[in-house]
Parts: sequence; structure tokens; C-alpha cells
Amino acid sequence: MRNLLFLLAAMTLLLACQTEAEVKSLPILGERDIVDGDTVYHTIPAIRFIDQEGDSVTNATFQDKLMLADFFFTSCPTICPKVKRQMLRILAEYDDEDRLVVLSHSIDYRKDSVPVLKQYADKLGIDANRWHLVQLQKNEVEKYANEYFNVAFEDESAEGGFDHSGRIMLIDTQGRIRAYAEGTEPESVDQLIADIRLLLNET
Amino acid sequence: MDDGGGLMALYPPISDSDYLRAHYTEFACIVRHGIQDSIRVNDVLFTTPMEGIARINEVEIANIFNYIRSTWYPQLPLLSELEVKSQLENCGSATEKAQ
Repeated sequence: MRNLLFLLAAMTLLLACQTEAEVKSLPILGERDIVDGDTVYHTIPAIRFIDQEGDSVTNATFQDKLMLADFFFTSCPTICPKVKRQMLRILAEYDDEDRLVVLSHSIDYRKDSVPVLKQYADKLGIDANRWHLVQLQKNEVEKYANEYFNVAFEDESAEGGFDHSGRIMLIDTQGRIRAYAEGTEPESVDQLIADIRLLLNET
Repeated sequence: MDDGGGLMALYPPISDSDYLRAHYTEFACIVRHGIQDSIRVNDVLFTTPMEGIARINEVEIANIFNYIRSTWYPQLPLLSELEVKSQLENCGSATEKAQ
């Protein structure tokens, strides 16, 4: 009996050590299903947009790349400037990394047409190869925000007419959400910058 | 931004702004009504319209100005609620267009 207990204790220890080593991989976020014995993870919806350059942006644009996704609008007077500044900081941190691409969804389906997005991008000095700005349609805003674990909806009482969260989501090459940061908080973005490194290493 | 530095050519700085020094007596109008026209700040042209904040009240406007003043412009006078009221009654055409 004593031997058995010792064996159990040793096994537990061994397992604990293993888990310790495996922490160096990001979790897969969201609900999961088991289909025919396989685990199916939450993935982002299909991508079919026109970006600030008038070029089409599809899933192929992000093939073999990590994606950073967020929600904003160009006339947003509140959190968007802070989030955009953090996004610029992340890209600067990964200046030479062409496997990291940003997709920013505008939720202002009325105003943020391609020329408006283009002007905004130019003023921020955005490189169109690394950062795509696209406009959601009215009926897409809530759906897309939900799929990316963000919140976005029209609200007349909000400054600028929309309420939305400032999360920056990190998506892997299979469309799965692996990490996120509150884009208004530099410390949270510091963690995301480290998470991106982890995910790049396993990609 | 927290440091008042603005963001590239999109948002002008507020921490060291020749525009603010020249227009501080219109501060209340700018906050309430926004700015639709282009403005030049420290020799950089900014063309993105600034949205006004229609529901902000006189005390809040005074608080914002006095925060900016004490942080970056100690040489400017404090702004009182009464002065905010009087500024708002005399907003010029540049900001009234935003109405």
C-alpha cells in the first residue's frame, strides 16, 4: 500500500512537471465541439472585404499568417486612438515579421467607405501590405464582433454613435483565436506582444 | 493620448500646441461643437474633422481646460464655469458649422 501511494505521488509529480513545460503554448479560446471524435474549435467567420486600397481581402490574404483583429471607426472620439497607437506599437515591435497582418473592422457602415479608410490609413502611415482596414455592413457589425469575442453595436447615446470594445485579438493560421489584449491598456498589449512571439514560434 | 502627444497626422498634439495657445479663448466652443475645418498645429495640417461633444456641461468643460492648463500650460489663466458660458454664447462661425 505504501508503495502504491509513493507511485501515485511520483506520477502526480511527473504530470505536474509535464504541464509546466506545456504552458509555453497559447490556449485555443472559445467553445469547442466534439464531431466524430475530433475536437472542433471556434474559428473566425469567412473573410470577404474590400480594404482601404480597394483591393479584395479574403482568407487567402491571411494564409500562413497570424492575424490581429480589432473593431473601430474613423470618427471615433473615445478609445480608438489609444487602440490604434498600441497597434502601431505592436507592428513596430515586429517590423520585419511578414507573418503578422492586421485586419481592422470599421463598424461605421454609413461613413467609413474605402476613400475614408484610405485617408485614415495614410494619416496613420499604415502599410497596406500589413494592415487592412475594412468596412462592415449594418447587419454584420454585431455578428462579427461576437465571433471575435468583442462587443460592438449602434448606440445613439454613445459618443460617435457606436459602443464597442477595444480588444485586439490574435488569430492563428487556422482561424482560431489564441490570445487577446485590451487595446486601451499598454500593459495588456505588452503581454500580447509576448504571446505573438510564442505563436510565431509554433507557426 | 496620455502624454498629450497626439497621433501622427491623424490627431494633433495638445501638450505643446501653438493652436491651443492662440485659441484658448474658444476652448469651450471647440469641445462642445468640434472643428470641421482643417487646422494647422505646429506647422502640420490636420484635416480630420473633430466631433463635438454636445452633452458636455460647463463645469466639465472648465475641468478639462484646467487640467490641460495645469499639466501643460501653467502660463494660461484658469477657466471658470461662467467664462465657459460666455464663450459658448459667442462661438464663431468656424465651430457653429458643426451644429
